[in-house]
Amino acid sequence: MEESRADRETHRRRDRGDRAPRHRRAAQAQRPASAAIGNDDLLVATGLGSLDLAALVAKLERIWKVDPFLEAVAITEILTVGDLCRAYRDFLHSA
Amino acid sequence: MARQVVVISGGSRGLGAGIAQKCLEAGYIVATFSRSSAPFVEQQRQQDAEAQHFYWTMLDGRDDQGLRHFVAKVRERYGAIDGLVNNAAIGHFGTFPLMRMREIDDSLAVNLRSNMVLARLCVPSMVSRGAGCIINISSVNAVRGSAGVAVYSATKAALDGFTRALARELGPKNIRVNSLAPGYFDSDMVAGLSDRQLRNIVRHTPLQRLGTIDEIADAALFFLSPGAAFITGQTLVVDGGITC
Repeated sequence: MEESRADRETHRRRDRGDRAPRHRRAAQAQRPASAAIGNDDLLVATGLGSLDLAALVAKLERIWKVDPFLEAVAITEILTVGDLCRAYRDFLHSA
Repeated sequence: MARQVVVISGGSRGLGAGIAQKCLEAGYIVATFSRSSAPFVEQQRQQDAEAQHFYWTMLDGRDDQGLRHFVAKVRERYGAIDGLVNNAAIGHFGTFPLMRMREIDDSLAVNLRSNMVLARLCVPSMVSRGAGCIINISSVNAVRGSAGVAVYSATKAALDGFTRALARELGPKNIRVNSLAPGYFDSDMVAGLSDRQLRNIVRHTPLQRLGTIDEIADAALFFLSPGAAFITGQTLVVDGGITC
């Protein structure tokens, strides 16, 4: 039986996977679901998108009353979980 | 339901005060600042001495530290920021080749940079909650060229670009960003125009009159309302049809 247009669309979406960028999907695929997150893990591999990171930074600002990315640190320097932790540690120590 | 909090830059007089007034009437909490106080501010502060619904502070939008302190205070006092109206602006009008450098710098600093900095400070609160509404007050001069307003027009057109890019970026977090571009309305901005210029504006306006602050503020209130829940990245021109 010939596939309907709706079926084809469903299969196409399934083949395409979610709408996350390819590099993030690839990074996520390499991680076992239950693996703990370590300092060397790329932030992108944790499934954290840029807006999720912005939300995390906003929440940390509520707790610690600081936002290192407002002036001191360029977000482009933050690639790994460890980079993010270091940015806060350094900023809080220098404050 | 808890009252929503709207930050308005330059909310002491003119359109800013008009938007603040409409927001208060609609049940929003309004937090605003301006370089000096004005009768509207004093009246609100008299009625609400505890600043339960209206908070004002004296602040120049070019003062980054002051803006940071203001936003922190608003979040501490009210908990969240639901809406932002980037209204603060100055108008240095005149022939461009005769304009002083300082006037160019001031226009860019107030009309553009201070509004971007304020948005930078308010957006994290919206991102963490997954909701928000930003309105950038643009101008018909961003849409149409007019002699004598080159720098002002450039700053407002830049705000429109800022609106579209930010709408794309923040849409996934349910934060809407729109521009409101008023035409000529009864305010200090048109007070400097001659009778002949005003007659000329009215003659070229299909609705044959100037707008009112209330009419522009109503459009801002619409953007803040659930009625505009599916509108983002747009510039709404409210000008009696002068640009059509």
